[in-house]
Amino acid sequence: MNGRMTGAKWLAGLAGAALLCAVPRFFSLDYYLHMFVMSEIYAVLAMSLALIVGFSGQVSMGHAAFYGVGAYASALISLKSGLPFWVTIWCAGAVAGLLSFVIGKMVLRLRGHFLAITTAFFGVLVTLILNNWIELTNGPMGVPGIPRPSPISLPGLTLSFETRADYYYLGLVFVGLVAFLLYRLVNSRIGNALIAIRENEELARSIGVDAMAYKVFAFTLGGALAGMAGSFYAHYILFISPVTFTIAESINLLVMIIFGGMTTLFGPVFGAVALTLLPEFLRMAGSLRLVIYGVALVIFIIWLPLGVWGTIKSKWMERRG
Amino acid sequence: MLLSVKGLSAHYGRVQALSSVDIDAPEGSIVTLIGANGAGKSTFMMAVSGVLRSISGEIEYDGRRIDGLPSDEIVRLGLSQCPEGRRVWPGMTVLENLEMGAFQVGDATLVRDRLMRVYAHFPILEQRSAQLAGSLSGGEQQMLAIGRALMSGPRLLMLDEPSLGLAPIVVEHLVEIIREIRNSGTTIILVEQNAFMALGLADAAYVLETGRVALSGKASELLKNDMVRKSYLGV
Ligand SMILES: Nc1ncnc2c1ncn2[C@@H]1O[C@H](COP(=O)(O)OP(=O)(O)OP(=O)(O)O)[C@@H](O)[C@H]1O
Ligand SMILES: [Mg+2]
Repeated sequence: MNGRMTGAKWLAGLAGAALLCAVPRFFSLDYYLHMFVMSEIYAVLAMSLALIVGFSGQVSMGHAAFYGVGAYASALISLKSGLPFWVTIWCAGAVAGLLSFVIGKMVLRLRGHFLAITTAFFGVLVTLILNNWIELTNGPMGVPGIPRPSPISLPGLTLSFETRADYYYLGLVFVGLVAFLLYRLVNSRIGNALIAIRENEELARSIGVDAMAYKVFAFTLGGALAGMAGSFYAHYILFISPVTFTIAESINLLVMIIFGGMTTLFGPVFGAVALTLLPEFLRMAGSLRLVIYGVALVIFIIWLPLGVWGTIKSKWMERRG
Repeated sequence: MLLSVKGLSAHYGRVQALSSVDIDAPEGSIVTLIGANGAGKSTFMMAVSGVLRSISGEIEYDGRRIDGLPSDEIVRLGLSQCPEGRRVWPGMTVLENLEMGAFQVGDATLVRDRLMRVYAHFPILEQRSAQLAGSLSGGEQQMLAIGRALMSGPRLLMLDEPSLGLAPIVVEHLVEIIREIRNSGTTIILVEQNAFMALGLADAAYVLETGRVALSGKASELLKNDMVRKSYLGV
């Protein structure tokens, strides 16, 4: 029985993967492919934020700062040193991770609203620096001419990154690897500690969980992954400027995980894809679009606190008893 | 002396919750702390376990100073506590709660052994192992919290009001279990409102009043003390 269940799961997974790989064949328009690549970037960002907010229970309103720092680190390093994207994406993760480690050490003693406000403050501070440290970042004019990833060829497959479809495939791998990493993490001892801290930090400390260390770890890893997403973005759009990485984007990311549900891993992915594609489909509603969007969100926060995916999952678990 | 506390003071902001408290717990004994609400009993436990950091004084455990050590290190030294208030993680299953108690134990067979021992003490927990802890009754949650504290394999176990909200028959059962735990070699510090139960069970007792030790001695003697009888036993 159990074996057949996992067999069915494997089959469903394979079918899903095949379907995802076939997407560029059905939606060959650049416009659609662009939306899908952006969905992938947001999926990584949303998962990395869910690790901090959903699994560890530490509200962060400055997540876009790490996204931006990663984008700038990768772009500037590749422009100045000529290193390929395949190296600079790791540099982006390291720089953004280091920054979030330092900020996390400072702010994670705070709780609730105080933490939210302080992380927002750091988010704004990073945007200010990107705008004003002109010698390094070129300020509001942004950084143009970022190189594409150098081509890779695997047996039977060459990705030259001249087309959006190539980015789409790379993005699939990226999302898959991050999801796998986080899945292993949240189902480990570390994941249990994070959930224990989220549900009752005092109690976690009383049984000997070093709460601060685990919170800082989650914050650092989340920041590093956001930085890597930033690198992907930079070498995809080939131009970056501070306006992409403002507090509005941080809030956008929070909205995605609230919408999808932040205590599962699929929830954030679902939220990211839905809220990247949906506004585009709502375009025909014209200026009413933002109103519809806003009202829908309020409804979600009040009536579906677990998010769409979280609600489906909990209903499903209930029915199975 | 397994635990020896000298001149322990603790404060929350400007509130002084403990002032220069001396308490000793000999190895293999049950020591109880009784006192009215707000006397500082829970504060004492939080201070010893390293969760509360704003303290002064000396805390010596097994011959070494542990005041100032982080709580995870104190647990590793064999001190375990079952705090008051919200004692379980309601969103985790009974089994997950118990496993969290052995968070620092790397050895899976050891965890398994201890789990079996906890189940032997509290068979109900085995029956409910897959159930969410939040759906247990108050008394069952209490047992779960005690079981979880045992999972770290403590040499010194501190229990904060374990009998709170339990039916008299369950309290009797609890008394038996606490005796068993002591007989298996664990030293116990027991904080109780139920002074009658605590004094009957303990070897030594301390009466706390507004953050100070007002009275101390053999439990059997305090049980006969007039002031204790009037204030805490209501006879
Ligand atoms: N987090 C806190 N912040 C401020 N004051 C506190 C805090 N916790 C306890 N106190 C104060 O410290 C004093 C001692 O509290 P404590 O919880 O140790 O009492 P207790 O003896 O355990 O009481 P009870 O029997 O009601 O549990 C009380 O005056 C209480 O108001
Ligand atoms: Mg108390």
